[in-house]
Amino acid sequence: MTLKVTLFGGTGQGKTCYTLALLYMMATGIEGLRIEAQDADTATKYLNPWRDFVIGRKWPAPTMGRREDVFTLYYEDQVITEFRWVDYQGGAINVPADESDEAAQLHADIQESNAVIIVADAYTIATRAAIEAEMLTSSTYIYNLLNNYKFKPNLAGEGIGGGITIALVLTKADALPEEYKADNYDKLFQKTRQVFRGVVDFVEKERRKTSSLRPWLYPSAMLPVSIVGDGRAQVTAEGEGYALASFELVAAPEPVDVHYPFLYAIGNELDRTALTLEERVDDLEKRLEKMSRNVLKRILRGRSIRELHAERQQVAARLRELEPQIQAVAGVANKKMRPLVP
Amino acid sequence: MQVEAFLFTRSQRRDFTAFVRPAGMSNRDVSVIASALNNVNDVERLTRAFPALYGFPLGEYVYLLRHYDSRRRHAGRAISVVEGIAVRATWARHFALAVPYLIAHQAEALDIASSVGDLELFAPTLSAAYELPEHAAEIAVPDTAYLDDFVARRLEDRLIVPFTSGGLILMTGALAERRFLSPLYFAFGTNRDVIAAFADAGVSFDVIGFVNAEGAGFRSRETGEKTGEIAVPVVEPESESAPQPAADLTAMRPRAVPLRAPIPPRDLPPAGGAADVPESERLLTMREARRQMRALQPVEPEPPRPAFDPFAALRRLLRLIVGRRE
Repeated sequence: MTLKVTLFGGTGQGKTCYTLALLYMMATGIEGLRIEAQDADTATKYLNPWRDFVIGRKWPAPTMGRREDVFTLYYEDQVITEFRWVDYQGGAINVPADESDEAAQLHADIQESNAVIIVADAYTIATRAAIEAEMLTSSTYIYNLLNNYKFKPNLAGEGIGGGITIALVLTKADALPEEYKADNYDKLFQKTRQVFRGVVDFVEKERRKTSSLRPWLYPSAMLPVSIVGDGRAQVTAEGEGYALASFELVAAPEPVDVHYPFLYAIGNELDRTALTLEERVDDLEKRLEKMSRNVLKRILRGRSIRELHAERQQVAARLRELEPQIQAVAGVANKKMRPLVP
Repeated sequence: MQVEAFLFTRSQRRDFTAFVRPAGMSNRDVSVIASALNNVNDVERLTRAFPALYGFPLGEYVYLLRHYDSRRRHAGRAISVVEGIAVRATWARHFALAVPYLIAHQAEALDIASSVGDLELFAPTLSAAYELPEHAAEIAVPDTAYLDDFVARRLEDRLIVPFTSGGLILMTGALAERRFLSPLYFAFGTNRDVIAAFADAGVSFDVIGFVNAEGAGFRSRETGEKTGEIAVPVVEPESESAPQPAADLTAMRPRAVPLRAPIPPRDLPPAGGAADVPESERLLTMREARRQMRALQPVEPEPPRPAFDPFAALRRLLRLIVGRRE
């Protein structure tokens, strides 16, 4: 099983830095969880710019184009899942699909993704007017894409596979004004919900539905993270107009909380797989019950009953196998992430 | 020679985009170049005076591009520029002869950014084709033995040079060499990831100037193993105002020479290789063949159905029960 996780967000929001820090942290393992690239060269490609960032104290060059790599997530040397990581230049969101190959691919990637990780600059959210922050984080464009490819029931499908996990990464949290950090980032969360209100409103509406499954198809959460750690970067120029604030690294970086949004995305999608399996088990049980109602039916349909019974056992075994993996991944992340809808 | 311009960079308002592109350049081609050059992490090392240089065919064009740090910043990060010129594949042989001269005069010949004015106000546009005066150049290479060697082993080996003025002289010396049967393609001031990304898109280079390479030599195309060494020319100290590779490209001191004979542009088949066959000889798809076959088969009229005869049906049933056949 391969999950597809697409990372996107506006330009200058910190996608590349986040990716580099995440892969660096997860390459050696954290809380028993570890990421391995499909080949050694892929890992090197990510680690080299991270090294330049740590030693040379230089922000990685802004991304041009699109990048896709395959990784495997392990929990204590046990394979949990393969996942395809797709990273974009921020501008791919703001360009019509017929003007850029990246934009066209981003639309396709979102359609195919199991989970999306949206990267937004917490400092911009906190320090700019809400309407400016919306434009600079591209939150309206993000909602537009998700709405077109994932939220509309006729496109996404009403079944379990129709939903998507949304993890919102709030970068540059170390630089936030103190009032936004107070009460466990309460003010930041409030303003983020305002800036990303399109996505928040959609998830909120889904939650209100009374169907047994529908409200749970869009797990959504956010978390402030820091690539450099508190006090290790300072603002050199405040943002104005189109320009975002500039930062300078003043000490060696120490990433904080970068792995949780990623684990949240993976964990919840594994959980969706388990949900599908559970639905299958329920369905098989109902069919078995119907077939075994009287002796005559049991005699006439003995073979079918045996086959269904074997299938049910198989699905249940797969479910049992998946359970500890979900616990290992989502159990860690879901404790840390904050709900997008309070 | 008809050329078109290419300029790929970003402004504060607009993320990386092809502000100017040749009319026949697809979004996919832009993406190939962007994604490949995205593998350059340390763009600050590439300056306007001594940029990375690329010459390669892609889609309908052959490109000559330079890649350097614009010194502009976005959110504190270096913004790179990829710019240059492209010619339709029909002009490829002309272009190959002009490349050494264009490299030596890259400051003017490949400068597209200056022509667009304020980038913040500039909307992406298609380049008009314009005439570029044709020049060839002779490059003064101290020892030409490596050229004899390269002509003989080009199919098996690549020429590897350092990203220095000396390396550039070796590369342009090879590009100016007329014994090669087809144009040489090159990447100068690059790394393995860029080369691999271009290779994924089907672009292969004959001469590579690695940023980290210290010496020059030949390397097997197949295994990457070193198969020969070349002495790198020492550039005169007075021409190097700053330590290499920040030196200016004019250190090459090429001598412009006229083209020996005008070469008419060649009609090439459309992209994809062989020319189209006449419509009557075109291979059919499976569905087309099936349709054609069905259309050729004579349609037999259906026999009229007999009226229902209850006695006949009863007889058939009896025959079935007793097992007798007609």
